[in-house]
Amino acid sequence: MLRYTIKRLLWMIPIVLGVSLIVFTILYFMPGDPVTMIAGASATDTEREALRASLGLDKSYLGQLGTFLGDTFLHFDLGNSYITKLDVAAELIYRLPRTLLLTVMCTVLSLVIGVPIGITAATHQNGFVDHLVMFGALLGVSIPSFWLSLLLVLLFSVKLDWLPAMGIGSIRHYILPAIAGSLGGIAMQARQTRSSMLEIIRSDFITTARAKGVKENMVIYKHALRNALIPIVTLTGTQFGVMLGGTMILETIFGIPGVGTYIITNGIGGRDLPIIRGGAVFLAIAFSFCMLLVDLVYAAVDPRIKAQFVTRRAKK
Amino acid sequence: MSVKKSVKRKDGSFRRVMRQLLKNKAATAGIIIFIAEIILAVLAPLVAPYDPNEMDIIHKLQGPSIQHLMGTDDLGRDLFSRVLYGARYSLGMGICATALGSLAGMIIGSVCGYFGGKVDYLVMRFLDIVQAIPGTLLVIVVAAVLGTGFIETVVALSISGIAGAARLLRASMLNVRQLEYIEASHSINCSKMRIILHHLLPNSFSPMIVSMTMGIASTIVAAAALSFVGLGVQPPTPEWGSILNTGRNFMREHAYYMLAPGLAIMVTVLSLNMFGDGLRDALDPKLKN
Repeated sequence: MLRYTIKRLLWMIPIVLGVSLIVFTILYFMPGDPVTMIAGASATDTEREALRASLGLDKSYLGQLGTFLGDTFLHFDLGNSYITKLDVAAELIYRLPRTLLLTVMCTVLSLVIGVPIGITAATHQNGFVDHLVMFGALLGVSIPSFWLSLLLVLLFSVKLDWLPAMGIGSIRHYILPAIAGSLGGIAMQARQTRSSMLEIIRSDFITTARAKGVKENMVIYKHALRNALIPIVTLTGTQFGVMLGGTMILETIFGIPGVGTYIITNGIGGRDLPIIRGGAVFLAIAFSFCMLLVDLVYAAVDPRIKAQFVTRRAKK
Repeated sequence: MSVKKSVKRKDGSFRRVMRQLLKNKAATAGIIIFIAEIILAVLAPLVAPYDPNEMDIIHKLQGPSIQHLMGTDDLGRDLFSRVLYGARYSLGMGICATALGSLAGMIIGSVCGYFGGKVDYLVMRFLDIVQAIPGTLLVIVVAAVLGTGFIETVVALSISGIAGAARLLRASMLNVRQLEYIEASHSINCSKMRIILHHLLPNSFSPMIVSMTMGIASTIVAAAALSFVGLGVQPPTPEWGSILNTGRNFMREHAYYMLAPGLAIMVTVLSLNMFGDGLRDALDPKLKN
């Protein structure tokens, strides 16, 4: 396990560097000249050239890439915004807790609601409850979260006036975004739990447990659920990672000033390259660390994965 | 000869899959709804009661009525006609982007799956890196660079699907590659191209069909999400996401405005998911519980 962990950790270095390289290269081709944007149309050519040199934009692609990677990984500096001149890394750290709170709320909701629903469906296989749950889950997967957000705002903020539609004043502000962001996750968890429970319920050891006279609730929650847990754990980790990188649209709709809004509104809206680049690299690195955790937990729970990894590397 | 052929056909996997599919009511309903939407999109000029871009300021923001089935928007344009025409853009983008991404992924996947070795190892590690970037983020960044327009948006949307498709095809090819009939085609000196295109690809394709069906659904949502953040196709193009995005400004007094395009997206995604679920069960009986 230790060998696997170390190998997997070392593999993070090329991943993180590669992700930064890809994001940098894509954004290198972003249209529009930042110098014109910052200096304005009235600036003289000398002023422009001086500004271009001070931003490092006169260097070649490789020169700029080198500066970017060096600044990012040696000095943990993602540059300053072209427009507000503020430090991008500091802004991201400042906004991260809001994004993180929303992501955690969504993940917890999916897990706490999705798994019991999935178990109920599995234990009532092909019955009315099962069909109802499975249809509901399909519907849940199919509703786009941004449309659901608008519907929730319409019902709970505009019509009933129970919950705020925008902002981050209190925890109540996060209720609607969390519901909108987690419905798809709940549905996916329910489907995943149902199918892995159904697989386990048929195994011999469940029959044995029942034959020994173990109570049905114990059979389901202790014997079966424990063994059905691996895919659920994986899905939870993946959902957390995907949510972290995908809350932007939710944040924009609900006016939550998190990492996503920063990238979308300040970065893309203002064509502010350091914000987009820094934000994207930041989120991608956070996402790959989530995936690393999922892999490690997975390997710890399921010895087959570890074995597979070791033999594959040994062959080389 | 003819007898032999008919026997072979009876057990053909295509027919078995179709029979399974038709037995599944949800899957049948799903594909019927989706095909109906495509027909409506193609026939939009005949079906739509109004020109989707014809403004009529006097009758702006009117609720649904007999004249305007889904009401009118802030410029007095007929929303029903706009949603109908919007199907052309939304469905078109979903189908094109998924096809493009799957094609690119399939080329990569089949090269890796067939040749294996160092090329395969390097490409797979590269895909690991690409997949370390969250999908939504990658699409938004690429769309920001490429700019707004139909083709630009399709390319941006297709990129997020390439890695997944490549991996999926490679995995199923690795399984098929070990089977006897591939060894047999090697032994009768089939060309590599022929083995890949005629033997490996058709036999490892079924998981791809399922993922492409679901892919169209998620791409339509992603396209709408792009318009929602100001990227993607721009107004006045009647794309569903862009209608929804404009409608959002009027939701307090005129809720019907954002209901129509949202419903259109949901029904499409739902029908594709129902069909995809059924297809997966039909193609892989092991998975069916």
